[in-house]
Amino acid sequence: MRNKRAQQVALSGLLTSLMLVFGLIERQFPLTAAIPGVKLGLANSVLLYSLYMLGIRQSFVLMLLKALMSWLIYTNLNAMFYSLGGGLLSLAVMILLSRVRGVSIIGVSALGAVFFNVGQILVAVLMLNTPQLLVTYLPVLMISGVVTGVLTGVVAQMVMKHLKTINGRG
Amino acid sequence: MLKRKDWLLIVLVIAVAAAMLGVSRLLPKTDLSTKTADVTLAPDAIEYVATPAPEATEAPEATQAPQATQTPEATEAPQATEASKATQAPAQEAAMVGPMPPKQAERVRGYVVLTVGGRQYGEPIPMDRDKVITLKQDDGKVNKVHITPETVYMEYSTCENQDCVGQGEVHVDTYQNRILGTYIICLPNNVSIEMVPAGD
Repeated sequence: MRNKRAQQVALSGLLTSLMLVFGLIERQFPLTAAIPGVKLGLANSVLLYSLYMLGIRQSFVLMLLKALMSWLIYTNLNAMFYSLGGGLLSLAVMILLSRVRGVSIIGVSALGAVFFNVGQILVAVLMLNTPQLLVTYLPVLMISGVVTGVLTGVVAQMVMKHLKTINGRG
Repeated sequence: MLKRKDWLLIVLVIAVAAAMLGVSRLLPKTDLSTKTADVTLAPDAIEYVATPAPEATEAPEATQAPQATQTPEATEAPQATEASKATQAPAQEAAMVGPMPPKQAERVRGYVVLTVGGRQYGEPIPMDRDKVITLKQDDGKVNKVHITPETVYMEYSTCENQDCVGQGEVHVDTYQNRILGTYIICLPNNVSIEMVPAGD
């Protein structure tokens, strides 16, 4: 704990690259080709970890970095807008819910995943000018978001349990 | 593990999703008269796919050969039907020599609305014959939309995830069973295709 700032920067870099790698790996194994946008979203468990262990500010920075990097990696500006739209809404909901008593990290994760999809669809509606997407496509993504959100929430919970043990010893 | 409030939230989300799905069934069909072009479609954007064999009366199977084996040969026909009929006439005479432009469907069963970056490209395109529409954007993004008398699908896209190609075809008879319904969407390239079934 000698240099807290350097430690924070290093940890942020580590977590950002972890999110990007998760995103890249998921891309190679699409859960289904027929429903675009359905993915496990393991990057979200990293963000959850950061939200619970590092705080709101750091999580916000991580989310922004991920959006920015997705632009650079995929050389597509639209990809950044979708990532940003989903990320902002999802993080806002997760911050609010994580302060509600009686909601566990799994519930926060599920709702975060759902609102990531909501944000993306809202951006898509704006960019493509097709409001019908809101009622036709969003419900499908909401249900898939609940399922994948619970899964990533369980992952985040397990990771945090073990990391707490490690930190406690160190 | 999951607490009671978690379950409550999850049930709530699923209920909202179910309600939205219900609403989507009640949505009125897209009104074609409201779909007008924001950007004119370049006449050379449409390419007619030639049928491999002439309209043979003795071998009707020939026209139903699988797409993959065909060599899509372009007949540079402008969009206007009057003009395309004119170019069709000499081709029909030479039918025994080369491939023919596709036969026009007896009844147009649907129209295709193409949107790029929120702006509609051209008027709604009738699904009257086998053709490929190429959408080129200034920044080098290209999408090719294949239209047949009964189906629409994304044939080619420069996007990185190829989701739009993977979304398959919209068929005028079975689009209700598709998750995306009448839509094919390419998010990275900002392209959306909507099939509007023609009224009976």
